[in-house]
Amino acid sequence: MQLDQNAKSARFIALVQPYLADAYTLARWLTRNRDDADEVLQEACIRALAAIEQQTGANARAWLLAIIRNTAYTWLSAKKRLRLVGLDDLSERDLARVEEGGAQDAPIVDPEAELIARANAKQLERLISELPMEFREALVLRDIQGLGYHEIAEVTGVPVGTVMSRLSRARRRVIYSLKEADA
Amino acid sequence: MAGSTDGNRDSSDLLVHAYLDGELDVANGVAIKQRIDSDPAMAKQAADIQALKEVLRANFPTEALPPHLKARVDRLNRKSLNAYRPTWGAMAAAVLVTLALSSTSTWIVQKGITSSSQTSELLDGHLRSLVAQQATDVASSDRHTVKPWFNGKVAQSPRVKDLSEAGFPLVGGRIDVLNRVAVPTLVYNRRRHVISVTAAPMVAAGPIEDAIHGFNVLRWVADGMSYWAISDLNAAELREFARLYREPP
Repeated sequence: MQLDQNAKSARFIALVQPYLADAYTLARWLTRNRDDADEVLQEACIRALAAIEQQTGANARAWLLAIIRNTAYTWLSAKKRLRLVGLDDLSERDLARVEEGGAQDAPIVDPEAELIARANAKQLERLISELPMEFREALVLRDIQGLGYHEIAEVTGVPVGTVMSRLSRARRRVIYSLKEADA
Repeated sequence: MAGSTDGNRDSSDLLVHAYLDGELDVANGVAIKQRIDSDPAMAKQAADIQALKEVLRANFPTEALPPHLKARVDRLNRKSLNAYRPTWGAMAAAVLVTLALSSTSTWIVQKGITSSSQTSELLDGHLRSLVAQQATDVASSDRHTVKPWFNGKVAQSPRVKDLSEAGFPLVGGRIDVLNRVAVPTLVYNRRRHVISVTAAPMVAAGPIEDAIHGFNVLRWVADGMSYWAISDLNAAELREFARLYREPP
């Protein structure tokens, strides 16, 4: 089935438009820069338009966020700004260390919950920005954008178990850093 | 926690997160809530995570799309509309593309009916088991416990092999549902990876090897049954597992 341009445009308005704010939020967190986020959003919209025929409407938000994510990764690696090693580049052994914890992982500590509750936006933004890409996107998608585990798995293209593990590491690191900053 | 292995601590850690995120079913939610209530260290951890979740939600509300971007996207969409003035050449090309696309998609859909719908049902079972507290309904590394457990629950007990020597310890078994029929699934471990092996009355001939959503899937036929092995383990080791599992005892 080939949609005509009017139908494509209507679909774009129905399926993409409602999630543009979410898409932009994710683009900002992944690129850590508003100008880059603008470009990523625009490029992602072009990709979404090109692929709109294949989108059935089942979970359009996860579909759009996956496009944003892929566009952001491409954009960042083109700009050589991906200074953090992607998990895909690691050997299996290193990957197991990162995913399952190890020496470089933040230890489990018990800062006071009130201390966490006092953290301000600027401080939180810095700590989240410092997280490795894979941990950052899990945390942002869950705790800032409110996606469920299965949706995050869909957006990031990894199993639910991996989402769970990345999310717990990301949160643990932020909690640990808040405690460190206070000490 | 004293007395518990790292594996236990890690999986209960994930469960605390899953509980606070509303991702557990009622039974598992109640179980983990009881553990949080009775274990001060776990309660502390839960309080920290909850505090972080709340402070993030409070500090980063959803922002509307900035007006300049809204305008850019609108222009983009309108442009795609107006810029399109089909010439006869373009229309002919479009017809060709459509033909190519439709023949490919028919093929994909047909293939899907014969194999992937069962695979995705089983993948769901595997995923549920990863999120659930226990990947198994019967937890035992003893095949003489696991095999009889299936009696009366499924039409035919699966072959239960002890592969612990080869580094694939048996963890237990569970019942999955395939085409609305209860089928037995065995659960093995490889390091921290979970392998689900399901046996079902033969649905389709021929082996398949597939990767779906990051999981590797192997299917084969033996003794008139179809077998599926599903895991996030790498393909080479999963093949090795299937080879050992299929070897005559």
